[in-house]
Amino acid sequence: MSAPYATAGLITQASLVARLRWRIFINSLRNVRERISLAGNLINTVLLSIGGLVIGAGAAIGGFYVLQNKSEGGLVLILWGILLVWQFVPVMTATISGAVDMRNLLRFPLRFSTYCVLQLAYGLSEPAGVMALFWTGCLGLGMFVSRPSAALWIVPALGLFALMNLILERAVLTWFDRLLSNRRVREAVFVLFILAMISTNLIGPMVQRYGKRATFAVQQAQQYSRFLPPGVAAEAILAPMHSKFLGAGESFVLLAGYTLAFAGLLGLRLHAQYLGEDLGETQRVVPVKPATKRVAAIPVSGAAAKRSLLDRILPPPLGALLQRELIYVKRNNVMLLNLVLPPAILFFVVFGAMSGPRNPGSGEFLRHAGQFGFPIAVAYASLIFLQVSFNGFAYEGAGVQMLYVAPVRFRDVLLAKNLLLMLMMLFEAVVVGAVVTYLAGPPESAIVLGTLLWLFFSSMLSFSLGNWASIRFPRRFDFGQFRRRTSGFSSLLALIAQMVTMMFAAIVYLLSLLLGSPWFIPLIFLVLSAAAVPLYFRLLGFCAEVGLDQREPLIAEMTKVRNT
Amino acid sequence: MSTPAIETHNLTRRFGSLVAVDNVNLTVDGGQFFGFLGPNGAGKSTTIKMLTGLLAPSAGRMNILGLDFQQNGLEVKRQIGVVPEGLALYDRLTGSEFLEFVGRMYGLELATARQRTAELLDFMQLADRPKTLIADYSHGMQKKLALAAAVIHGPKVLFLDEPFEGVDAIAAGTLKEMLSRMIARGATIFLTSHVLEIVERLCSHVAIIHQGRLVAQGSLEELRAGVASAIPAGASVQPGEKLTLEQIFISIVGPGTAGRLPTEELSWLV
Repeated sequence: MSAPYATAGLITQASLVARLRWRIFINSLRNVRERISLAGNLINTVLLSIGGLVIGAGAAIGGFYVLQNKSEGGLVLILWGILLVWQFVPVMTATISGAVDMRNLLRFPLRFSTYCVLQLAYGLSEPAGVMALFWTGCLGLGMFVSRPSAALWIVPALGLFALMNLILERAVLTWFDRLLSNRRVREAVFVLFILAMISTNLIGPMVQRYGKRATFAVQQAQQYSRFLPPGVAAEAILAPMHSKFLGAGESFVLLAGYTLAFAGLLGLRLHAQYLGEDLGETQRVVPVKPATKRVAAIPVSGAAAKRSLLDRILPPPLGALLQRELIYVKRNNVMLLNLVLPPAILFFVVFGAMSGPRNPGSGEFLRHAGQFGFPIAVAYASLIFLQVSFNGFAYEGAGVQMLYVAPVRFRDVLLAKNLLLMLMMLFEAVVVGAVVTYLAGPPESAIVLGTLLWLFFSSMLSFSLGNWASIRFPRRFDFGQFRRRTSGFSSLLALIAQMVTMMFAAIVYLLSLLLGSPWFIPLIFLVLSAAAVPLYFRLLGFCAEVGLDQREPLIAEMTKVRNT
Repeated sequence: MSTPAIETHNLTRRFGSLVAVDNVNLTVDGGQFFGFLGPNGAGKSTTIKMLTGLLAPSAGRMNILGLDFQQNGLEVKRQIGVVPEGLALYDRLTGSEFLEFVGRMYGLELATARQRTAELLDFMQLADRPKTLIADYSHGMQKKLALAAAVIHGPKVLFLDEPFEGVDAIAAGTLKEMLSRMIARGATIFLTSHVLEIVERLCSHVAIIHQGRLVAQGSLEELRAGVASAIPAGASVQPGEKLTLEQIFISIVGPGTAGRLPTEELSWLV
């Protein structure tokens, strides 16, 4: 009896995968929270598309002018921009949200060629790939309008450049798999990326300061980049315009060589995967050490001695909870990044103003930087950390069950979380104060005191609402993932709380200006803080009861298994 | 008569219209190694969650060591240890950080928590990886750590939800050794497991829950006697042959739920 099935071909299997993705997407919308999330994503997509269209228009105009002026440098620069977005953004996305693992498909009778095609198709459907391909098209269009007769070499050169980018992107991601399969490396790459993004703010001031030397360095880099794909593609397009057909031919061959080389690298990795190699974290074999002799009790280290100080200050469960929260912050790169951002941004803004060309505005700015810089940076830090208080259980994971099985009052759990954020914001205030003092002189005492009291008042209000929202609308975050998917309602509540407290700050500041005394600010916020404390503790008790009532959905959310 | 270690009266839990646990009346005496069995979705985990404070009952009462759970939640929690379904581990802590944290949550002095942490890690053969995060532990190591956390405060009653699931034979041996020692010292252990051989070997008493209702409860011998009398003559069990727990279980719960395939169906299977 013959088997009642035929071999599924490439088209059938590819369409089945597409249908599968579609079904997963549709099924995810059964949940109201996911529907709200989709609405947010659609808004983001529209905004990103507008940005992409603007850049595309820029690429088209750029393409038009580089061909008008036969500017090789300009064309190389545009092509580098496209290449970097095409290669860098998908790696970043994989770092923060995990790459989609195509290896799951290998359980089915899939041909190697089909597997390769699916990999490339997926690369082409990624937002960064779509955008970069669109910009390449815009660039080509601009060049075609500028010189229609050049279409004969513009189209194949840009087509080959796009194909090379697509293959390189897949090759980079599959080879990066080895690195990204390791959680620590994934987090380190992510932090390096963010730090690199922040440090781009330094380029302007650096160029201002080291003008000539910087220009020389850029020229040197351009010289060497002629042999890299963007330079080669630019040469393939521009050389025929100077009747250098042999040079153009060589460039085409070189670009094709790059494409083949990257295809080879990609093929090697995909073939290894196809044969069953799996580098996923869950598949990693934990090396088994040979049986060792029993280890003696762990000695109390210096760090441990410090922790016992915390024990002396706070009652045992609260001390234990706070200590655990502190360890978690230490191991959470996203939170550490949140600590670095406010002082770093303040530093770059003030440093940029100091390094930039002198104009009447910058002098005025620097004179007031000491007074404004401190409250603004503290307010910025509070925006970050108070937002965190609206999803306070985000990183608990399965450990949240311990909070319910241990003999601990839920009130203490919430208190420890609030205490941690308060400590972090105080730390930020100290660092920001030091940066402002170093760059622009110390702020006035009334401003410092007023800012700190505002921070306290603002925290009391936000914690009161945030504790409730954390329990009622919890969202689990995974470590090393920057994806912020706080419940829409919590985000809205946090926004309202922050707007109200900022409004308070603005009104009190204006009143102090009217009265001509900056000491009015700390006075008012002292009164408001005194009123907020009993309210906070009353609501803390209420939230503790809600925490017990809502243990089931909270545990369910925290122990939910996520699939990428 | 001594106070039962665990006692429930009409314990009920509803999820909307679904009654997951329906008027369950359980009695577990002190010092018993008690196995709580049932097919998938029978209500085992829901019951254990209620008994450990992870889920509020819709109706009924629970007494642990004579204390009403609802009235004396904190006091009861001090006396019990739990390895829940999701293990309740903080995967960004190291093993020693986690045990120390748990010890202090249960009110142990810092020095005592540290001493017990070291001893437990040593006993569980986890001490040679002091800097490894729990996230990087294997599943078996995580299970051993979860058990260590459940006993660090010396509980009188221990609740274990599927403690041997996904654990290799060596790790399982370590766990069984520890549990046997606890029983020898007078602790009560309440465990759920799908591995009937393990329950049969470890437990002195068993209860079976099916579709939310308690359908059997007693010592293994009592259950054997009850089932044997109900088996018709000519059945596969020979006279005088000792019934296994699997036979008891299938006999009580019914073969339909055990996943037996009617022979006429799925005839295309090779």
